[in-house]
Amino acid sequence: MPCSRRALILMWATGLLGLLLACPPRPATAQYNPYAVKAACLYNFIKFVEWPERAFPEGSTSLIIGVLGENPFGTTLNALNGKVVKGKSLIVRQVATVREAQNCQMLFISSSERARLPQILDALQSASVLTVGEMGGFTKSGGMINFTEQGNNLAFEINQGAALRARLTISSQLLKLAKSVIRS
Amino acid sequence: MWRLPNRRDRREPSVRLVWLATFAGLGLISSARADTLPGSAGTAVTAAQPASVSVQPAASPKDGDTEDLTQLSLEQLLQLDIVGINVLGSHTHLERELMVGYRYMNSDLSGYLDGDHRLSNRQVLRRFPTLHTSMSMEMHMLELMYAPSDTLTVMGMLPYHQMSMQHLRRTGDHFPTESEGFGDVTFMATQTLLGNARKGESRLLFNGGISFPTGSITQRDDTPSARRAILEYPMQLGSGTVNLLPGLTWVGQSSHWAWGGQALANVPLGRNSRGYRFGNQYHLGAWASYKVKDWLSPSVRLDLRRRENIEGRDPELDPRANPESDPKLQAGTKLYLVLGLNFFAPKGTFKGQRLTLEGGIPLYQSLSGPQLSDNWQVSLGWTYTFKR
Repeated sequence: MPCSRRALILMWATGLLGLLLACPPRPATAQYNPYAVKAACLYNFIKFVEWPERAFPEGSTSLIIGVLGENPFGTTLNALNGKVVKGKSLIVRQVATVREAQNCQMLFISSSERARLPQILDALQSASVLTVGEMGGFTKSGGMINFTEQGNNLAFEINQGAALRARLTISSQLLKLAKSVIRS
Repeated sequence: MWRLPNRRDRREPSVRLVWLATFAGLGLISSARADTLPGSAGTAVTAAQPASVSVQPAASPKDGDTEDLTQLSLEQLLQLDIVGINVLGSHTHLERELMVGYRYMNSDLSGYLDGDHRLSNRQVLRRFPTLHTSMSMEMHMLELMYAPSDTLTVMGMLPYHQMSMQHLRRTGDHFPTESEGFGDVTFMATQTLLGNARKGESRLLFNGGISFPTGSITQRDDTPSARRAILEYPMQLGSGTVNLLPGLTWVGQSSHWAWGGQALANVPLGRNSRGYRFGNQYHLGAWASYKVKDWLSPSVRLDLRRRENIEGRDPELDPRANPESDPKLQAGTKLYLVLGLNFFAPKGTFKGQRLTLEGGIPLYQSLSGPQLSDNWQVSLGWTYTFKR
């Protein structure tokens, strides 16, 4: 049962016009590789965190970023290799064990390690390692910074208490940018 | 009074240009409007609704080095879209995204096949008094998509068909017939079954669609033997039935690649008012595209299409008159290779707009013949995606 051509044109034209007028359009923007953004965030976090001297081997001029578990960054994290932040040259390293992770200053714990997260965080308690994750419940379990999302954007949560216990000082600037902060 | 271009008008290149310019203009207007809104300037950011602004690095990264974003501040990084549309495209949208689109398609058919064997006109004319030397099918499609949530996208499509056929009779006479008008309107919902688009995961999607018989099945034109004769089945604009379109789609995407596969069926329910039912159609497709630049991605697609014969018949169409009037000569399988170029505007005046140019040729055809075979198809699509 064909509809009249005019009625259909009118229907579509009215619908399209109505949508354009009623819903203020905000253009969808280019998508950035989430892990390229996360890698750049790791780089920026270093600027806002103070490590105690004992976190670095004597005379060390490097800062080691470790990745524990499956590396979701692909090659994006390699862009940080050799960059200098606060006088320290960055080294990105895949670590296989928690013992190895204790030699890092920053540790990204992959979601693949979710099952053994409590053990990993327990083992790192006495080390001054800034732990970063991207899984639900990470900061509540004792992790320090957790990547999350807010709308189409990246966001992060901070467990300041966990950082303080590891003798890490997180600047108020970074705390202000966090989506949520666990203080105790 | 305003009217759609008639059959003579549409042959004029200037009229075609006006059609295309009209749709391109709609996009420009929309884009210009968006650029003037405070929400897109990145200044009206609230914690509840962060702006999706595209922050350009202070020093633009060189081509191929776009993964290093360390020159951006933390504030800038937190304003980047990590999930959104890009040049690689997507079959679904994220919550509150709206897409308007227009697509033009043109297919050309000529030459008869029986199975995969080519038949000469003389062979066909031994069996039928008339054959078709060529058929041209043009379609203008309006598309509207909206995502009420990250996992559900609904869409509506309204096609406008312009078709013509050249006839050859045993006597050697040639004559054309034409049909034009709106086709069947289709609504489709795509539900994500597995995977999370925001995490960039591969996803399994369920497609549930329904089409309504808004297209005419009584298109007529003058022929040497009759005035206002009913036209052949392929020249009708609609199916005359409510059709179900179930399907499954699998999509995957990395930073530079997008790929996927789709299985879709079109199942007419019951017979139409003329006493027949178009055969079921099945479509299997697989595709891949590669992001060469933020604004350019070539794509390749393989489409396998299967159509069944018509059940019943139109009482006014004599199946002995020509192959296209025989309901038992409609089935066939076609494998198409389609190459495409996708252009996307990640920033600037045309931000959020995509232009897709595709051309395809059949690699294999096996038809219940004699039946007209496909030569090629081209399509040009434009979409504009924005957020409510």
